[in-house]
Amino acid sequence: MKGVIFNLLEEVVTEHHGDSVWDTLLETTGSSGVYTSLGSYADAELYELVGAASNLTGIPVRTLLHWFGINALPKLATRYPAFFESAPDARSFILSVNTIIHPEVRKLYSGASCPHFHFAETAQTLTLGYRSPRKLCDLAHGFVEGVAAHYGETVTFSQPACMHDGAPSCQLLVTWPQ
Amino acid sequence: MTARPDPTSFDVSLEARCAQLERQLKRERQTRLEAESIAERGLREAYLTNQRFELLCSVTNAANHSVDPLDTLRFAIAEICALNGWVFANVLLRKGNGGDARLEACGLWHARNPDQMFAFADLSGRLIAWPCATAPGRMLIHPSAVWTRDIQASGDEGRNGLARQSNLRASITVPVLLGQELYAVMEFFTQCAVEPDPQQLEMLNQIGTQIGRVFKRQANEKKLIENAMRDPLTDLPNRAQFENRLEAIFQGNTGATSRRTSLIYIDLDGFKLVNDALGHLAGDRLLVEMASRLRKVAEGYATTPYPGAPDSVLIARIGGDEFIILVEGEHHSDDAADIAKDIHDVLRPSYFIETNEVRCAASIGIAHDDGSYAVSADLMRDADVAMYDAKSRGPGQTVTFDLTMRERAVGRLKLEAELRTALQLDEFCLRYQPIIDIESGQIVGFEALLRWQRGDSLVFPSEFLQVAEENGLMNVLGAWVLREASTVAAGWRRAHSHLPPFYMSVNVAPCQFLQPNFVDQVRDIIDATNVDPRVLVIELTENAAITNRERTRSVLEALRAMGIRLSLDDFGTGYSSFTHLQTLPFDNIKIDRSFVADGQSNVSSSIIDAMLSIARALDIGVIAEGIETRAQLDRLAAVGCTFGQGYLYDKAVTAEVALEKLGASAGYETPSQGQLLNP
Repeated sequence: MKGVIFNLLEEVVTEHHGDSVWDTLLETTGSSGVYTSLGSYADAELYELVGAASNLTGIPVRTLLHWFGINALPKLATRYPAFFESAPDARSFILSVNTIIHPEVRKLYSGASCPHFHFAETAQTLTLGYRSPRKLCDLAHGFVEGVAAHYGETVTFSQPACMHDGAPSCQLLVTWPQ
Repeated sequence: MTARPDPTSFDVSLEARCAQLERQLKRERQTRLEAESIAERGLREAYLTNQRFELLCSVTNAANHSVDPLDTLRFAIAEICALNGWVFANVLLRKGNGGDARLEACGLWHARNPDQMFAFADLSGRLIAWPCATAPGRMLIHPSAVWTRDIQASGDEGRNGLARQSNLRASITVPVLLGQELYAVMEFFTQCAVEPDPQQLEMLNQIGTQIGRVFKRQANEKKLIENAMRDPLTDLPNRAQFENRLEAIFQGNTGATSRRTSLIYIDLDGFKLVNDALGHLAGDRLLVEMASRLRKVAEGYATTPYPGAPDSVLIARIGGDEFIILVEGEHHSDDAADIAKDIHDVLRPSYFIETNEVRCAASIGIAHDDGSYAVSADLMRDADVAMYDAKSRGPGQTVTFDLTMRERAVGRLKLEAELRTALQLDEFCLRYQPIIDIESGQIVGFEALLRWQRGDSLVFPSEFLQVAEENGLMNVLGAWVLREASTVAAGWRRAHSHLPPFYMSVNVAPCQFLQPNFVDQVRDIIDATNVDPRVLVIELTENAAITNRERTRSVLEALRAMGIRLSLDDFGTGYSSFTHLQTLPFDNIKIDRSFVADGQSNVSSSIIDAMLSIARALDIGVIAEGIETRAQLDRLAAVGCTFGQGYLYDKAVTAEVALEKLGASAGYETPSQGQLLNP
């Protein structure tokens, strides 16, 4: 997992709950807490941190990931404004993930294992097919909502299929109102 | 001593201390983010540089292994599009020259989604761009990459609006060039506006250069093949191309189809003389001119449609001054004869190289394939044999091959070998024909004449001189003659002090005279034989004298400075004898035997008359050759001819007999009384 995800998590937790909570999470999990966007870290560390947060707050892990995605998005927009500037709306931003954003990530970090989304579009909807052993569909869900919020758009979100329920891949359906 | 701050004055509350630390932490975090950002920019730059380098390497590699530049271009545009996420690329090739220079699409394009931009791709694949302000057109004016950030924003119609329909935004146009030579243009399109990137442009230019190398290599290979099949001097097909064609005809012949070919073998008479006298550059110019005349004849037959016209006529240069024409068609024999006749006509007009007027004639041999030839080389050989036969008959002749010629050709080969042996075995000898003062009948000199003692028979030069000339033996023979005649003359003078004055006249062949070191050779022979140079007369034919008049003059003057006298031989048979007489320092002219023999005709008589008048005016001696009858002698005496030689006086005799005759007081016969003209 890229270090930037850990950085975002730290920023979101610190912003909403104070840096002592983040420190507690690190203490609880025995993590060093030394994360830089230039590095990659074991996926397990992220799951442990989120798990510890869940234990601390009593909020389920999946809900926490969703929350994290929504709140991390504005911070991504601050860090990487160019991606947002070149996309005029939420739909085109989401569609640029495969073609622009993840290729750019790979330019910085060779060997980064970015997920590939399979898109299916109608006039009102956009379906993201997501398949990854990380099963981070909730984080993706949060990101998508964050994107809509960034562009000031209202969307409804549903997930007709989920790997957590045994589906081979997750289907994330974004719908724009008529 | 430096004053130190009092630490107690920095005491702060715990709260303030925490705030301080938080600020410090925030700064540290900002510092980390800044560092990460700088590192990421560096990583991105390194990644792009590496990718571009890899692209350049892969295109260079493809270029190195490619024989077809279009293959390299196909590979390159696909790779460039894939690397950059560009959606369309098109290739235009440079065509035409000067005002006709243009770029033409060749149907080689690449589209990420061809179905979504087919109209644009299709139009691009047929585009023709003339020098103009549009991106490809600009390449013809200034071949340097052009990057337009957004063609839609720039108001570019983009191929009649089709670019807009395909949502194309940035366009990048890259020349494929090596040095100043533009070979092609690659154009790329994106579906989002892209800022010009100088590094990217530099890389694209380099790719253009690499592909330019493939074009250059292909052009060089093409040229090599062309050169291998074409004579670079005259631009005619060469021997290899001709032989390929002839061989193909023979291969294509089957028993069922009749063979319908003739070969016309052409050798330029007089070319070698020009080459030797005026130098290779002049020789080349003459060849180019003559080749162009020959080509016109051949092309006339090849391209003019008329009933029974030949199927094809191929002309090639197959040697220094040798050309061949291959005629295919039903009437090949007649066509070949007509072509030969036209060639003689077309070569006739003289040609000027600087101020030198030069002429070429052709010796032409023709061989027809009547179906009896099994291999093409035999047909070629027989045309060559016929050409040699024509050459032996003098300039400007055409001879068609027949079987007796082959025997003669074999004879010639044998003769050449025998001549070489004869030189080594010292089988050559001289005979001396007296030259007589017509009035007194006394010997004034001798003409040394070459003979070949071949076994029991004495062979005259007419039987071997041509072969000797063709095989480069003439210079050796000529030098031998001069040395032998000088030795004999010096010996006579040494041994017989009482002898009356005489001179020894020696013939010098044109090729011998044109040797750059001829004067030195003569000087060496005089030194070696100890002959008095005033005894020597060198006879030169007009052919040798006129080819390079300036050089002739300087050689003649050098010889005269040594004391040698000079005769212009065969006078009257050349092109413009009288002119040469006035401008070149000759002591004597020798009137050709043809005028003497034909002296009864009014024409010859008038010519002799004219020759004598001029000779008198220029104070030049006149020797009539070939006097065989008393009547001829009387006529020559009547018109004032001073010297003569011929069978009436004596044939050429051995040195012993010649010496005897020179010492004898009794002279030869004199003209009848009343025939002497008092000058």
